[in-house]
Amino acid sequence: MTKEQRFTVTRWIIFGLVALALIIPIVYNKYIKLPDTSSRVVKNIYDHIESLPEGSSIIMSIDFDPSSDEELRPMVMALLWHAFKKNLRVIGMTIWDAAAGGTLIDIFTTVAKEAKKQDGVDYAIMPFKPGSSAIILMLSQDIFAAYPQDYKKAETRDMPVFKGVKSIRDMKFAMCVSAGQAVDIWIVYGKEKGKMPLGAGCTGVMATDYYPYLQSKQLLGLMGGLGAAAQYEVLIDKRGTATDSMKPQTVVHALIIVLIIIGNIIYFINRQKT
Amino acid sequence: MTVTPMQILEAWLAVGFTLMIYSFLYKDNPLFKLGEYMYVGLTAGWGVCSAWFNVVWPDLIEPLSRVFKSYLGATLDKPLSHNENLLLLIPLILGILMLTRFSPKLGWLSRYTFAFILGTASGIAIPLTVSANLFKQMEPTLKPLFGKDISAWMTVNTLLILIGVVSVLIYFFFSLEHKGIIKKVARIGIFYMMVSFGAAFGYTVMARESLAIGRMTKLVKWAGQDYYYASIILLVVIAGLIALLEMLSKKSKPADDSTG
Repeated sequence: MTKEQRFTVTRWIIFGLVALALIIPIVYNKYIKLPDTSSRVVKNIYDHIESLPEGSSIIMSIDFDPSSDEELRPMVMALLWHAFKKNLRVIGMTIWDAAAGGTLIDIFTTVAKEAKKQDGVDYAIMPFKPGSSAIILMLSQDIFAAYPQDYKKAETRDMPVFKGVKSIRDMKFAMCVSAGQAVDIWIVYGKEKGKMPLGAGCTGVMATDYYPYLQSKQLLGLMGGLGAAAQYEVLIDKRGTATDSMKPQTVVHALIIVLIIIGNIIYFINRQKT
Repeated sequence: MTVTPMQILEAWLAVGFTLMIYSFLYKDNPLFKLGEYMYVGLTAGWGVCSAWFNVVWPDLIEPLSRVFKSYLGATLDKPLSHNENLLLLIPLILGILMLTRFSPKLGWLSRYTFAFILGTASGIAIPLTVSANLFKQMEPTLKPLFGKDISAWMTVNTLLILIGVVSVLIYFFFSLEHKGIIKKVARIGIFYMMVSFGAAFGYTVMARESLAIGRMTKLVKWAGQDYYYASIILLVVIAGLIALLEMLSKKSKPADDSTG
């Protein structure tokens, strides 16, 4: 067997091990128990929503497409469920066109149905509008200029959900869950102009980029990846997809740590030989 | 739980394409390419339709047609809103100018649109970006180290940030040769960056696993009786097809090799 063939076979063995480490905990999910934890940055968001009085308005910008759905949907569902449980009025929007169809509408209608909330009264879904930063700037001046109609073409001015709201300055909280640049846009345009408390949710890949904004208090809290969604599910005591996913994730993490150690040992042995 | 025929069809399609894409883990093959091209094609097609039905038609064509109808004296189902006026002709013209990129002779006209976009975007972005990403970010490094409401941990935190910012900036300071004290401080900067890269790598692993877990969970669910064992059947079919294609390519290889 040549060196290249050995490398290919080793690669397949690693893929196989990772596949097993994923599938076995998924199938035997109920037999695995993990401790409940929550980090301060995630709890900050929970505490803020918890502190809001009933009927307060919040805005949620859902800016991801199906390719990040597995990672971010549980996060939005947990946040939305919490907001509905607290009887907050929620405005859903997106500055990412790929999120406009299935993702935004599907998540809102699914959670609203479960929480028995009414469209136009307890929540509203805005249609996609191009111009991301321009839209957020408009929201900081006049929400009805940016969104005269909701996604069903109903006039937003007439909706009870918008009562007492003129711009995002009247919102008690804004949350952007994104798989792209939307969080940056919300920090630069939304937070600077709207001055409302801003929380961010993002994919794990992007999470470290936003920690500096926590230190400067431009972000109230940060939810990075599926782990943060699982923590939020624990906080609201509604364990779901994210909590279940932590089990295979823990097993694969352990496997990767072992593989990294083995890889390093082999590297050092080979270096000594040469 | 009752599964509708549409859900079963969706599951079979999703399983098929997921396995086609995952087949790349074995090696590049025609089934992976088929899945990849379908994904790119569908995304592009969906993007065009989304732009037309969510933006161009409701925000430009429809309001403009209502404006013209009103000027021609036709009866409208509801009065014109403040957004519906002839100013909409400006984005229409700018949009049409963008399409002149397709013509080598008229392509220069698109520069007007680009100039407009760059001008407005820069005007809006520069002051706010400087404020949010520079001044606000400098604040944590300028916090007092000691004071009435400042705990020991907060002092340590501020010091860590201050040392990190200064040392990383010095690492990227190329006007001075990295020797002596500069070298030592730059080394601290490297240490900070390594910690940052490590955290980013850890998060990236978690993110990729999350996507794989999501897919695997669905594949396990679709392997059940409700979905007519979609995952199991399609896994066998796709593995069989790849093996067949492999055999066919191996048969044709000796002839190719003989020429080389």
